[in-house]
Amino acid sequence: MENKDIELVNIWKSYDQKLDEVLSLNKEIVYELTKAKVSSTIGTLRRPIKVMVLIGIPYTVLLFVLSFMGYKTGAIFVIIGFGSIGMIMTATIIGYFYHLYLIDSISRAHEIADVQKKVAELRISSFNSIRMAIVQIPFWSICWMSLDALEKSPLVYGGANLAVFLGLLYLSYWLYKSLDPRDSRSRVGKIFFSGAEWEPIVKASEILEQLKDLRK
Amino acid sequence: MDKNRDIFISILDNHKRIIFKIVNSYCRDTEDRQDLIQEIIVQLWISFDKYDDRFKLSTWIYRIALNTSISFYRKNKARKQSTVTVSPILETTLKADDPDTDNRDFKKLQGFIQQLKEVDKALILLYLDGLAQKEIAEIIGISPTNVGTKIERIKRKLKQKFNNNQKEQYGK
Repeated sequence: MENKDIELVNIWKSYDQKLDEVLSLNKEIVYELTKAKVSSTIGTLRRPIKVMVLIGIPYTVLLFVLSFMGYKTGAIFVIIGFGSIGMIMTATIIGYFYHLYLIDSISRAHEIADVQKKVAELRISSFNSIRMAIVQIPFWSICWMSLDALEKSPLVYGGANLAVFLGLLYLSYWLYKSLDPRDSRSRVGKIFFSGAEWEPIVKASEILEQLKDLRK
Repeated sequence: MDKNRDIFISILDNHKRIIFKIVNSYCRDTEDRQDLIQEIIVQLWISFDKYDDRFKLSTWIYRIALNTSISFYRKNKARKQSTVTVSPILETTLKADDPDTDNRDFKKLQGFIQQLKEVDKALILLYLDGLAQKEIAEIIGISPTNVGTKIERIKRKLKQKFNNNQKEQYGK
């Protein structure tokens, strides 16, 4: 080793030896910072949920307006189709408001057990929102049906629409059964449990799982 | 579970110098340093279950701390928006104006290291901490030959900076 190399290494070593004497680790903070990480991770969810609510409310109003127009014109399938989707969307939006409430609660929570409980609730509620969205699928085939056309052609028109309805009903049922929040890595899971709405919940849950051991 | 926690905190305490030196080489301001310390400790904790005891603890800590620091350094502008402020995790009682000569030389060396590119910082930190080329290669993920070549280049750069600095201080 050249002299200059030794000099560099010695400069480094001399300070290194001092560090042991002068450095102190705040052990309590190690736990606290992990909890803070959970709150800031979950906090990133606020924006996408607010966007969903801002889009969802006028969309739901539109659905009910269409149902009302159907009522006025006697279009029974429009009332059933758009009315059902409107009610499902209303429940979904109420769910989003609940998510915003849970996110605020998490950032205010002091005890880790409380944080864990609320993150778990948020996870289940978000999962239920996705399932709720799936339930509306078959109703989309009903909205466009015409009572007149059905009366004129019950077998062909009726049969075709029934086939579409049953197909969408089966798809909805299969997705409903296939979605499991514990298995976000399945083929179906990867499609639904990803993106700005779900990843912060998964990351926060992982941090909390580890934190459970640290804190006991 | 208690044992796991105690072991982890004890390991952190015994190797806090590594985290401190790395963080000081990658960050200039106090807020960034504390944020990076947070990130490193969280990453270490998350990886703790997967620690393979065939490797030295210091090697494991270096690997995670350096990877975290390099990512942090690259994302620093975007990351600032999501900073979580917590109390200091690692503190030193050593004063900035310490008249000790060794400290002055160390501060110069650290300043020069801060000017290096992120991967070069990692290489020189590991070299100065006395790790073998093979170990450095494992941590960084390049070949030992490549490690040797890069470190020689970095050392020349640092020596040049020291020489230039001495000329400025003591006159030409």
